[in-house]
Parts: sequence; structure tokens; C-alpha cells
Amino acid sequence: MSIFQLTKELKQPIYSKPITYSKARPAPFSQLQLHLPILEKNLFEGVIVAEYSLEGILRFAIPAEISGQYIVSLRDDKNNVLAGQANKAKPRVTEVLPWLLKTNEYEVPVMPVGYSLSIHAQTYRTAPGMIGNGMYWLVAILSAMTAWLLIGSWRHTRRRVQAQQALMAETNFRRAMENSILTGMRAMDLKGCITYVNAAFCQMTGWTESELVGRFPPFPYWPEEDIALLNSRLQKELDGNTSTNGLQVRVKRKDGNLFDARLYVSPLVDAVGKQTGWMTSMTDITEPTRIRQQLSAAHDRFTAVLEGLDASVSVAPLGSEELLFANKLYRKWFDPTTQGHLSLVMQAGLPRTTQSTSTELATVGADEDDSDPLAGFPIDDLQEIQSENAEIFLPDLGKWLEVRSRYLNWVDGRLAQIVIATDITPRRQAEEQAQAQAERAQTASRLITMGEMASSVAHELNQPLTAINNYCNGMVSRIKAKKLNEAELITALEKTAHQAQRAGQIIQRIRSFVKRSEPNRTLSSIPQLISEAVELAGIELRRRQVRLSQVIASRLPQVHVDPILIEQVLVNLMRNAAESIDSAQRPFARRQVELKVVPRTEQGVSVIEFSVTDTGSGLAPEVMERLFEAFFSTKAEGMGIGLNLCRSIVESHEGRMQAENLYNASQISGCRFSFWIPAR
Amino acid sequence: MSLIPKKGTVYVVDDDEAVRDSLQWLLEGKDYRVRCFDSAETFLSRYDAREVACLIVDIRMGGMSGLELQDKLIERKSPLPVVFITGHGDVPMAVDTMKKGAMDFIQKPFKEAELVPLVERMLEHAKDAFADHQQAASRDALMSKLTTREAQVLERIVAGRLNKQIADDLGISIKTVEAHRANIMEKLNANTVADLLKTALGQNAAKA
Repeated sequence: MSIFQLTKELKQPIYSKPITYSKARPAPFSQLQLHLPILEKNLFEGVIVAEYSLEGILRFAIPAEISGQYIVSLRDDKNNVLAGQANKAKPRVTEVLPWLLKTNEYEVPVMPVGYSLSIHAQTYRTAPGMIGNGMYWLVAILSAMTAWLLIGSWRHTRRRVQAQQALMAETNFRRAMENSILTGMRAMDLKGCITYVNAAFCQMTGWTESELVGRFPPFPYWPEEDIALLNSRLQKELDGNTSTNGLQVRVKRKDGNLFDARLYVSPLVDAVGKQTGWMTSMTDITEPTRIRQQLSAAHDRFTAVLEGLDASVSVAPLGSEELLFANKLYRKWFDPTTQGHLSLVMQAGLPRTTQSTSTELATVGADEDDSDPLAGFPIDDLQEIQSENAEIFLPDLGKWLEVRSRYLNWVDGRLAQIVIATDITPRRQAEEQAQAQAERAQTASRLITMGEMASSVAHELNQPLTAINNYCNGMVSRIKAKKLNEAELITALEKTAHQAQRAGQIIQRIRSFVKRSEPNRTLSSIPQLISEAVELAGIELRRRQVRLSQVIASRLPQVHVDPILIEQVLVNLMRNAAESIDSAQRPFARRQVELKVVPRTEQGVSVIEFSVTDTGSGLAPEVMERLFEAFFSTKAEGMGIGLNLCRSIVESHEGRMQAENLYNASQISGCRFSFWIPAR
Repeated sequence: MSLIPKKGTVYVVDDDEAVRDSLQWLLEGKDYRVRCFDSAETFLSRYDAREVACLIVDIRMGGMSGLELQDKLIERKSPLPVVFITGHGDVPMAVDTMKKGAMDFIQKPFKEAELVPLVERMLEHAKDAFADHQQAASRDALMSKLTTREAQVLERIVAGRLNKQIADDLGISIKTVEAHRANIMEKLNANTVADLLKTALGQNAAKA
């Protein structure tokens, strides 16, 4: 036996390896042998063998309280259980959570060393595992819940912050809104104590928030004289008797000014629906009140003006018998029906008719569309301001009326026609009178012209008369001397007759010039009227030894004028020119009047311009200013109607007249009178 | 025209053709020679200054007027008698012409009974005037031969100053004065001082 040998050699007690009797019955068991050498004088004598039962050791060596708690086993180096119980079937949980294993399994190596025996103690799986697991899971669940709560609370916090921010933004927005609105807001509790005022309210009243909040009535912005009234009103308010239209009150500013305000009251309700007070909004209505008053005053004025107008004003929609508006005069002149309106429109031949005639003209040859529901309506844009004037005579009223009409969109959107008829009877009469007067003046002026030209005319007539006289005397003396042959006599007689005709022509021309005639506008040939005028003016020009040069454009159109009147203007201008030259005592070379007639364009209208240029000493500035004034004359015996009349004649022909000095360097070298009349 | 000798020449200046022509007809019927001009300018450039004639001129004319024509003639020392034809209202002008030496003025229309005697009178006057004019012209011709110094001397002789005084006046010697005097007498064809005075004074008179 090796152990025996070993013991013998070593002379020391040696433990054997555990010996397992695995086939022993009823159960396999293990034994441990101890070999104790018997020594005699240090000589090996023999061995005492002691056998230990491992099972027994365990049973007796381990106290019961330990073995009650632990599964104790003795194991060899290969972890084979030699003695005791083994619990090798490990719970699954311990496999999943192996760190728990170490906590309930202990291994202690035991002697003799070298045989790798170890006592293995394992706590009982049953009781301690259940509690431990239960605790573990509890802790785990609690931890999870805690984490969940943490997350939840974090989220909640975040939402709260967001909500807070939103609330802040909203509050700021409200505040800004509240500050920006012009309506004053005031909140009162149920006792009437001011709990809140907004910026606008403070601004309106001039009191600060701190001065107002906490005040009981009477409030400082109440005017003293209204306190009683306002108190009763407030009481009503507090009782809940508020009108939805609000109240109009007077409010006193801190500086003492009063203004009108409108108050609207609504109950203030808290979160649970209980009324906590009253919210009042206040609007400054001073401006609106003023505007309304002004508007109403304007309306009154407008009505007063329309009513007081000395023209009849009526508005009626097209194609209806309804009279939309008629002023007093209309009602006076006509019945308050559309009859008058329509008759005015008809008689005046207002846009409808004029328009339709022009349409007819425009559509000559084209089929007329009778089915057009708008036939007769103006074709142009109806909104366009188009007003037509017509002067008509109403025999019923015995009045001349000037009728103006235009289309307008009535307030209800209907197309209506407004007709304004003005009584122009006095004007008409005055015009007629003025017309007659003007005609008389023109005739008178021509007479005066001729009167002033009398000496020139006499001179002019003297020429043919002298000639006739001479011829006759010559004939007489020749006949007396009997030395007159027939041919000579005939020549002389012919010459005499010619001179008599010449004299007759002069008289005829003067007569036709002076003769009073009705205004007679005809298409006149310019060269013809010029030659008439030149002949007449020539009388004066010759007497004053002034030459006349004419520049007449060829192919002048005919003009629609009263030839006598235009002649009158030309004669006057040429006479004046000659006089001016005469009084300037120009030498013969410079005694020249130029008459120029040319077509040209004046502001897009083609006109014929007549100009008479003299070489006199021009017009002094003060004369220039008053040149066309009536009764202004530079001539000692002048009446001052010549040029004034000339201008009115020209203007009555829709022309213009002007005068200008001509300069040679700084020296006035003459004067130019010109006028133009439209060519058509 | 008839061959009857003419009584004299009448110039007619008028810018009116009919008046001119009829006047010619009238005067020719009275056997005057008539020359017509339509303007003063034509007349001045065309008329024969040597011819004994008279002038009938319209006071108003285009171009040079009758008054201006009269001035020109005076300038030319023309002896031509002038009559103005005036129209109505030209009397103040006519008076002016009379002051300047016009014979007369006649108003249009003319009365033959006035015109013919007037022409007659003018032609009479013209004869004398032309003779005087001739004389004056010849005197002028003589006088123009004198030198400046001789003219000065003659002036003093006419003034009745003695030779000595003349010499003093002009600062020359008496001998020189005498020499000038002799030259003057010779140039003016004067034999005596009386002749000399006559010639010299006639000239001065004409000048005045």
C-alpha cells in the first residue's frame, strides 16, 4: 500500500485519500484512513490504521443549527461529493443571475492538505431564495416605478413650463392688446370698488391706475355736478340693470376738462361662474359726437341749400315714374310728380336724344337694333360725368330755363338722371338786351369811325369830284372855242362817268359799312372782306400818306363770320396804325402799314391770324395795360370804344386779340395788333 | 394837239391820276401847255428849270409831299411860281406854303373861274421871276470868279469903307487893296463904283 509505504518512509502519520465504496449497500460511503506509524527507537515497527467515516465526521462535527441552514458536503478535488448532501441541481434563476450563487455557497479546504478535500456548504435554496427574489423583484419594480415617475414628472414639468410660457405670451399679448385699445376698461367688485383700470382708461381720464384702483364712488373722474345722476346710474349698474346700448356720460379729466363717453357694462364672472363684479368699457365719443353733429349740420345745410336753391333739382330713375328727389322750387314749379322732370328732359333734348341722333348718324346704313333694351341710353360709360346744357322755354311757366342733366348712380344703385333747371329768364332778357346793345354799339362805333374819317372821306370824294369838275369845265371851254372833236369828247365823257362811279363806290362802301344790319354770320371769303376793309381804310391811309402792304396767304379757307364786323375791326386797326405813324411823324420811307393774313395753329385749332403792323411810336406800358378798356383812349377826341369793341367782336367770333410793341434794338419801331379767329 | 401857240407851260404834280388827267384836260382846253408828273420826285428829276412855267401841286401826296417839294425848290432857288391844291381841312398847311412864298392855294374841287386867272397870274409872275433869276444867275457867275480875299474886299467896299480902313481891317497894305479893287472891277465888268455896288447888292438881295 502506498500510504503504508509513505508512512513507513516518512515515519509520520499520513491520511489517505478518501476511499469511496460506491457499490456499498444500502448507500455508497467514503472512508478516510489514518496511518500512524509505530516507532520503537525510531525504528518502524508497524502501523496503526484508523478509519474515519466521512459521513460520521460530518454528522458529528457540524452543529445542528448549521446543518439546518446549510447543506454541508465534503468534496474531493473533483467536486465529487464524498459525504453529506449535494444539491447540484441549481435553480434556473441562479443560472440566469450567477452572481447570486456566490453569496450562498461556501467552500473551505480541510486537512490533510494535498488531498484537496473541501467542505462545501450551500444554503438551502428554498427559504432564503424566495425571500431574496421577492425583495429583488420588489426593488426592481419600485425602481422602475420610480424611474417612470421621474420621467413622468419631468415631462409634466416640461409641459408646465411650456404652458407657463404660453400663458406668459398670452398674458403679454393681452396686456399689449389692452394697452393698445382705445377703449377704457374698468372693473368693479360687487360693492362698486374699482379693482382694475387699463391704460386707455387712465389715459382717457388722466388719473393713474394707483389713484383709481381701490376707490369707491363717487369716483374722481365724475364731474361734481353729475355726481347724483352718476350715483344713481351706478346703483342701477350694480343692481344689474344695464342697457345693452350703453350709457352716455360726461367724464371729467384730472385737468378738469370734460368729455363725452359711452359706457358699456357687463358682469364679471369668475372661474366657477360666480359673479365677482362688473366690467365697464368706456369710449371717448367726443370726436364721433362732433362728427355726427357736423354731419347732421352738413346735411341740414345741404338740404337748406338745395331747398333754397333758385334752381329746380329733381332726380328720377330711368324708365320709371318714381321721383327720387325734388327740391322746393321743383315742387313749386311742377307737381311733385315726375311729369315736370320728364318734360324737362324731353324738351331739353338731353343726352338721350342727342346721343341717339348721333348714334343714328353713326349707324347710317346699318340695321337698327330695335330689340336692344338699352336703346336710347348713352353709349359712353354712364358713370362718366357728362352734363348737357340746354336752354328751353316753358310756356306754362313763362320762363326760360337752363336745363342741365347728368346720369348718376342713385344711393340704391339704380341709374338715375338728375335734372337741374335754372330760371334764366332775366339773364336771357339781359343777354338779349346786351346783344342789342352790342349791336347798337357796333353800329355806333362804325358811325363814329366814319365820322372820324369824315375829312378823309371828304378828301377821298373830292378826288373824283374834282376830276369830274375839271373834265366838265374842260369840255365846256373846248366846246365854246369850238375845237372839240367827237372822239375827244367821248373819251372825256367816259372818264367823267368813271369818276362819278368812283365817287359812287366810295359812298356805297361807306354806306354798307355804316348801315345797321342784323348780325349776319355767313361763310365769308377772307380776300373779299379784306379788300373791302382795305378800300375803306385806304381812304384814311392815303390822306395820312401811309402806304399799305398786304401779305395775304393764298388759299385761305372760308370763315364763318359776320364780314361787316371783321371789316370793322380791320378798318379800325389800320386807321389806328395810320394815325400812329402820322403822330410819330415818320419820314415817308417809314410810313408803312403791313396787313398780314395767314393761317396758323393756335393750341391745336387751326385759325386765321390777321395782323396789322405799323411803324409808329408804339404803345406806352400804361396804355398797353388799359388798351382794350372801354372809354380809354389816347386820342384827344377819342371815345375809347374802338379797340374795346374790336376785341369784343373778335371774342364773339371765338377769337383772341392782342397788341405788342415791336423793337429795333431798344428802340420801339412800331406796334403790331393781331387777332385770330377759328377757321372752320 | 392843236397848233395854236401855247400861252405857257404848267406843271401839274398830283398822285391821283384822275385829278392829274382832268386838270390837264381842263388847262389844255385853255391852251396851256401842261406837263404832268405823278410824284414830286419825278417832277424834280424831270422838269426843265430853264423853261418859264408855273407849278400846280397837290399838297398831300404819297411820297414827297407838296410842302417838301416846295422846300426843295427853294433850296434850288427855283423861280417857279407854285400854287397848291388843297383838300378839305388842309388850310393850315396851305397857310404855311404861302409863308414860304407860294403864290396861292386852290381848294378842290376847283372853280374854273378861279383856276384860270390864277394860272395866268402865275405865268406872268414866272416871266419876271425867270428874268430876275437869269440875272441873278449871271451875277452869281461873275461873283464866283472872285477870290476869297477879293470877296472880303468887295464886302467892305459895299459897306462904304475906305481903302485905308480895309487895309487895316484885313492887315494888308493899301496898295494891295487897290490891286484887289482893280481886279474886282475887271472881273465884275464894272466901270464905276456905282456899277460895282449895283452888281454886288443885287447879288446880296437875291441871297437874302
